[in-house]
Amino acid sequence: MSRYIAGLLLMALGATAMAQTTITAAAPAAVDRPIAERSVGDWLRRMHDASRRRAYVGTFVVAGGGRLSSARIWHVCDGTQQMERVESLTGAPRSTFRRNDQVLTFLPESRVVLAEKRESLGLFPQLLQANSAAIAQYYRVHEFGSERVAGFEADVLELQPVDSLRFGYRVWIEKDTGLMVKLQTLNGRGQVLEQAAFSDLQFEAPVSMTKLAQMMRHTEGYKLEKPEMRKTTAEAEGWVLKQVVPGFQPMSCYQRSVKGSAQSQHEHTLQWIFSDGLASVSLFIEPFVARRHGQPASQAMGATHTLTRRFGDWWLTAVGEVPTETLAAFAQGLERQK
Amino acid sequence: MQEAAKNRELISALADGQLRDEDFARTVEGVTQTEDARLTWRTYHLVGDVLRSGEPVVSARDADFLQSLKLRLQQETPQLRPVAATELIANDPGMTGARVKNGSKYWSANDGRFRWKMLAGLASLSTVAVIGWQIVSGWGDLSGARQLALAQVPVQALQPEVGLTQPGVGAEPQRMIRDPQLDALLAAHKQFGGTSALQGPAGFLRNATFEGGAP
Repeated sequence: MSRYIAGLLLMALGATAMAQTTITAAAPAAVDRPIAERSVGDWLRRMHDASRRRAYVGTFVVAGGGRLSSARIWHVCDGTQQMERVESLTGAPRSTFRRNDQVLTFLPESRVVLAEKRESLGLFPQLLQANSAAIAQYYRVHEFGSERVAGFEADVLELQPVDSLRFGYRVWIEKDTGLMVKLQTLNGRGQVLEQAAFSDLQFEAPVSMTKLAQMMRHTEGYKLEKPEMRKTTAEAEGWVLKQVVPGFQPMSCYQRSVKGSAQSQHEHTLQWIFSDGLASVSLFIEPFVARRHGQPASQAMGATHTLTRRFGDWWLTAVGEVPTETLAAFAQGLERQK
Repeated sequence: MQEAAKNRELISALADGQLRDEDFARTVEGVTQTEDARLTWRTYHLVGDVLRSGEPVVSARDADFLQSLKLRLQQETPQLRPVAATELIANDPGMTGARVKNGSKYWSANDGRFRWKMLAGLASLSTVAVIGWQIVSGWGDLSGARQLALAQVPVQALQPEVGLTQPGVGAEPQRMIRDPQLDALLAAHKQFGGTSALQGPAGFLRNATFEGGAP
C-alpha cells in the first residue's frame, strides 16, 4: 500500500483546506434522536445474531491504558456452531480457538494449551433476557447517524449510563450484518478509556470450519492445563453483600485455582461475579498472606479497574470494567458472615 | 536494503489483510521478531486507520492540548524542531474551532486526545508527518528511517503526560504494575467477560486480543 497510501496521507495532512472539508464531510450527521428507533435489547440481539450468522476475517485492534494490542480474527458459523480463531499479533505469541463456549489458548513459548469453558458465551440470549430490564434501567441509548469503520458503513450509538457507577459505551454496528465493528468505553466525563475496533474486515470470507477444528485438535507437544473450578455460592462460603450496588446482580460464584506465582503455586480463591448487563465485576477473595499482599491500592488499565483491600484475615481484589468508585462500593458492602 | 523493502511490502499486505497461509504465518512471525518490524506494522495500521476513518488524525477539538504538546516538545527537545505538519495542523484556525454538538456527548472530551494518545503509543504524529515527508525523498530512504526514529523520541517521552487522569486512581492511573498474581486474577475476570451483553462475542475478541498484551 506504501506509495499510494502515503500519497493520500500527505494530501490529508498537507492540503489543509481540503482536510477541513474532509472533516466536515466525514463528521457523521449527528442526528441525536432521543427516542431510539431500536431499544438497547434490539441492538444487542442484532449484534449477537451477526456473530451467529456471519463468517468474517479481520484484524482487531484494542487500544487503552497506553497499550495497543492487535490480533487476526477468523470467524465462521453454520447456524448452530460458531468457531473462531484469534492469532495475536502483539505481545507474547498465542492462538486462541473458540468453538461455542469451549476455548483453547495455545501458548507456543511455554508449550502450554489452556482449556476453558466460557459459560457466559453460550448463555448470551438468556443473559440478555435476564438483564434487559436492568440494561434499559441503567443505560439510555442514543443513535448518532452513521460512520465508516474498516470500510463499512456503521450505525453509531451511545449507551449512556444514568449514574456514575458505570461507564458509557459508544458502539459502531455494521449496517447490513449488525456486527459490532468498533467499541469505545467512556468515563463520566465522556473521555475514551478504551477502544476496540476492526482495522480491516472481510465478510463471507472462505473460512473452513473443518480446518479450524483440525487446528484446534492439534494439541500434540502441548501440556494441557485446565483451571480448577467448583461452583459454589457466596453464602455457603460465608460472604454477603450487605449493601447492594445499584443495577449489579450476582451472576455466579466459584472456588477456583488461580496461578499465584511464577512457581505455578495454586491457591484457592473465591470469585464472585456481578453484572449490570453491560459491565461486569469480579470479587476475588482469598486468605490474607502478609508477604504476598501489600497495601490496599487501586489501579486502572484502559477500562479495567482494580481495587485491593484487606478484610481481617482475608484479602479482596475487585476487578471490573467500572469506575473505581463502583469497586469501592462493592468493597464497602461486603461482609463476612462466619 | 532490498530485503527491508520487501519486508515492508509484506507487512503492508498483512495490515491490509491480504496475506494467506505461509506468507501470513511468516510475516506475523517476522513482525514479532524485531522492534523495527513492529514499528512498521504499527505505522501501517495507523495509516490504514487514518485513511479508513476519512478524517485527519488530529481532530483539533483539543487546541489546548495541542498547544501544550507543542510547548512541551519545544521544551523537552530543543534540538528537535517540531515537525512542520504538527505545526500546520495545530495552527490552523479553521480546525481549532471546536464543533460543539449542542451538548451531545458524541464527540468525547478526549476523542481527539485519545487519538493523540494512540498515536503516541503507535509511533507519534511526527512519524505520520515523516511518512508524508518520505514520499518526497523516496521510500526506504535511510535518512528517512533515521528521522522516523528521532521523531518518536519526544512524543513517546510525553506519554505519561498524555495519559488520562482519573481522580482517586493514583498519580499514574494508566500504568498497571505487572504483578503475576494480579495478572492471573485479571485473566480469571476476563474469562467471565461474557457476563456482559456487550462483552459477549465481541468482548471475547477484545479479551483474546488484549490478554497478556506486551507491557
